Amino acid sequence: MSAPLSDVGTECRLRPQLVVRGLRVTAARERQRELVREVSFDLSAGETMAIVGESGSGKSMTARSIVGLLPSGVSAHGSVTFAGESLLGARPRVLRSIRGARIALLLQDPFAVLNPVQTVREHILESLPTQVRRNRALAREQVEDRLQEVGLSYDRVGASYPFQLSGGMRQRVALAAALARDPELLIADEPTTALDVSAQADVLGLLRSLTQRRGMALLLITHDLRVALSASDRVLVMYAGTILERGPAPALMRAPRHPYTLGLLLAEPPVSHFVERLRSAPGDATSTAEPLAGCAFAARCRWRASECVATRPSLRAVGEGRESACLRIGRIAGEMQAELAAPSGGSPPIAPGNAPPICRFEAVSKRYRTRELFGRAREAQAVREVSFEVGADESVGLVGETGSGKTTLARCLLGLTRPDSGRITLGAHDVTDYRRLSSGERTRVRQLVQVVFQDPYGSLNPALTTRATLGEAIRHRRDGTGGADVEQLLSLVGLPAWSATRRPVALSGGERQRVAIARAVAVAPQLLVCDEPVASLDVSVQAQILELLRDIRRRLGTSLLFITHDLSVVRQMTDRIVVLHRGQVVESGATARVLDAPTHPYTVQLIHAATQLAG
Amino acid sequence: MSATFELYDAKASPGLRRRRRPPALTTGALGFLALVVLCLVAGPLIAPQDPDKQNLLLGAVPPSSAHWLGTDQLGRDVLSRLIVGTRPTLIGPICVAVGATLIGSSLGLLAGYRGGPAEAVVSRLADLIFALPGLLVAVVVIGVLGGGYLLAVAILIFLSIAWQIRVVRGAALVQARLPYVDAARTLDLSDLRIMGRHILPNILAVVLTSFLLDLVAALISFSGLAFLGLGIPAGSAAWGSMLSDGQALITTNASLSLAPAVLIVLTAASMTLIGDWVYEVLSSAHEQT
Repeated sequence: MSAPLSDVGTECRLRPQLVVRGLRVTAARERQRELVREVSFDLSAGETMAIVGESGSGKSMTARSIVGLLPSGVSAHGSVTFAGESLLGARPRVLRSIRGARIALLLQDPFAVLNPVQTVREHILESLPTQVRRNRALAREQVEDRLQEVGLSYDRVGASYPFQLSGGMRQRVALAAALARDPELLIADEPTTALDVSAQADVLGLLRSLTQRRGMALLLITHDLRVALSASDRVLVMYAGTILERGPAPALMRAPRHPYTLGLLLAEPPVSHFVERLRSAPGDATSTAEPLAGCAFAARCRWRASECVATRPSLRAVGEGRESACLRIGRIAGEMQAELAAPSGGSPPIAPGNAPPICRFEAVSKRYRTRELFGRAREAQAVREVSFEVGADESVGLVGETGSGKTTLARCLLGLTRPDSGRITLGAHDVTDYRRLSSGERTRVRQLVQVVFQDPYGSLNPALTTRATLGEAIRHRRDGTGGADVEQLLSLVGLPAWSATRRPVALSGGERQRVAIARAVAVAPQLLVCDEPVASLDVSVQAQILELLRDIRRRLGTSLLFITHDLSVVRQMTDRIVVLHRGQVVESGATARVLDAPTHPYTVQLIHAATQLAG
Repeated sequence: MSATFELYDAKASPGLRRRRRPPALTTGALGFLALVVLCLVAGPLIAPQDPDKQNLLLGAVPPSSAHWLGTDQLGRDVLSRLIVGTRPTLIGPICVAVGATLIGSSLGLLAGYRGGPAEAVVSRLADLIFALPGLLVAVVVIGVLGGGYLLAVAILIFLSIAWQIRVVRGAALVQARLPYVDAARTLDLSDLRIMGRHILPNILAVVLTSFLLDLVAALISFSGLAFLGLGIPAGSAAWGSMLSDGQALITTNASLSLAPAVLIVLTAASMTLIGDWVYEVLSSAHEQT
């Protein structure tokens, strides 16, 4: 079975295997909105290439049009050929014979991709070619091999259901299923986005080694420049449906040739050191709604000149193997390089000394009970004997992976759930059980602490305008009278005045998160709990929101309890960190001390995974 | 920051809701229902003849130019009686639907948002009502207690709240888990305010749709009761009682029983169609396009 495949492989290595020319993707609804405009690229057999872009850049649509899986109402034009065969407009039967067998797809969410009632064995079996499946002994052997290839043992996971596996293991199973028919090209759409840092590094490493061993081509779609640079030979940067730059990964990292790429590189907060000011291009990623006259990035570019708005740039060669769509790259390259090399260091502001703590956790424990249809109730210990405190005017990071109990702690503090044992104090109040507080006391406590949640889409009421949302919060502020009005709040968080009349649906993710922050600070809290506030935002917007939170802390003197899985965010935002592992504190101390000289093996492992990814 | 503002202003406002034209069938349903509402409000004014004017010499005759839908055994004009009968036919169902929606939605909202004992009590109540054979209970109770109109309304409200509770509870449960509700709780808003101002607007589509479906169910229940001579004063021109009165004369003037039957079916079908459409429009209003 492998002989004919390898023949095809050597034949194709001479010329590009996947050729995309002038690809345009348009949405039929909404006045022929262009999602992808004139995208062309080649991918040779055995090559790994990454398409990097923020939301709305058209990267996923590009990938989906290759395999003919566009959502309804969206159509692709141009030409896509794979090993000489035209894919665009091919009949469904032809597409089906290529999809899965020769081009495989690996999707973002390993939770949704696997069928919850099928075992791992059944998943792999189903993906094997029909002739293999008919032969039971061969099939069993194949399933074992496939699982082994992705580092899983048949005996351990073969009979497991997806919910019994960790996120990283699920993605491995999905990968094994995708590779079951030995495809020549693997398209991986955000394969690591939903995973924890250490699982991310694992899966990326696995992808890299598998492509090398199999001589398989990989098209990696990601929003994360770190992931792209660490896992691929060539990188293609997309923005608002156009390609802005392409080149070999190392060169791109050393010397970006487009202001947008530079922005992405700078926006990425480093794990290794504190940065005085997180830089990013202003605004949000442009939506592709409007037809473009000039450069797609012009509106956010600090080097914009009149020609950028007037003429639509095309990709031109700039150096060996590199292309850029920047009209002024010749003139601004030097300046950009200086910007990149500019010392970004600086030391974090000195943490305040022995201010009395505003919030204290003492031996807090919490278990969750899950009931099952048959059998006994199960208990999961979410948090076990956790103690720490947040000083006034201090920023404390709560770090841990999925399931480490960090969000449970925040919910206990906010009175959204109750700890089973232990004590939580906030200011002078014992807030272990909000039900025991008198209503006046509860009102005072609620004004001491506010929260910003991760999901900017769920944390605002879709039925209320920004003005209604903020107005409500203002009416509940501490003093009852005076204070900031809606306009002042909006300008505090850097939103234009017109956004007051908008509902959340009309705002971008970054704008929504600003509204959520405005709502939280409207009450003038002394402690702001931030639960992964930037985890679902684009990189460039992430940097803006982090800067905003720093700014608010500087101006209002609010203490922060910063919950995150991202060590580089922790480095930028906190004075002290508390590392949680399986509901227990494994290490805590000054941020710089813990990140530079971790003592607990788990912390070491976390930092190792994060730096590995950073390259 | 000034660059940011420039950019924002240049952005076309994306928040405008796309106005969607209803499909042809729904347009027809809307038109028909508009007619029904007209008859409901202004029935006595637009009826071509006095609906109660008897002409015993004429008796029951088939449709003619003088009486478009013919007359009944007392010689009364069927068309006029149908038009005027809209009010007694629909007032009951409307009261039932409004009452059931107010009570059922409040209970459902409470159960979905609060959970715990409140949910247990409310859900068991709904289960209990579901376990009752609805119309049979209505017939027996009204029959035993002597068939008052208000009694019929009260019993049908009680029987209909189960649907509302189930549907609204489910929708509220989904919303109650979203972070915006947690954020409202951290602002120390009262439960009443969170339910009324935050959750209710987001489940309005469900509430309104089940209101319309309730209306349909109540219309059919009332017509059934009227057919059995229950829940409606004798001699009233409600469609259900006309239907039963006309049965005997089906060979003399078929429209006497067919016309009210068709009206009942058309009204019910229109309401269902409009319910679907309202749900679709409202539930997509706050969604990402």
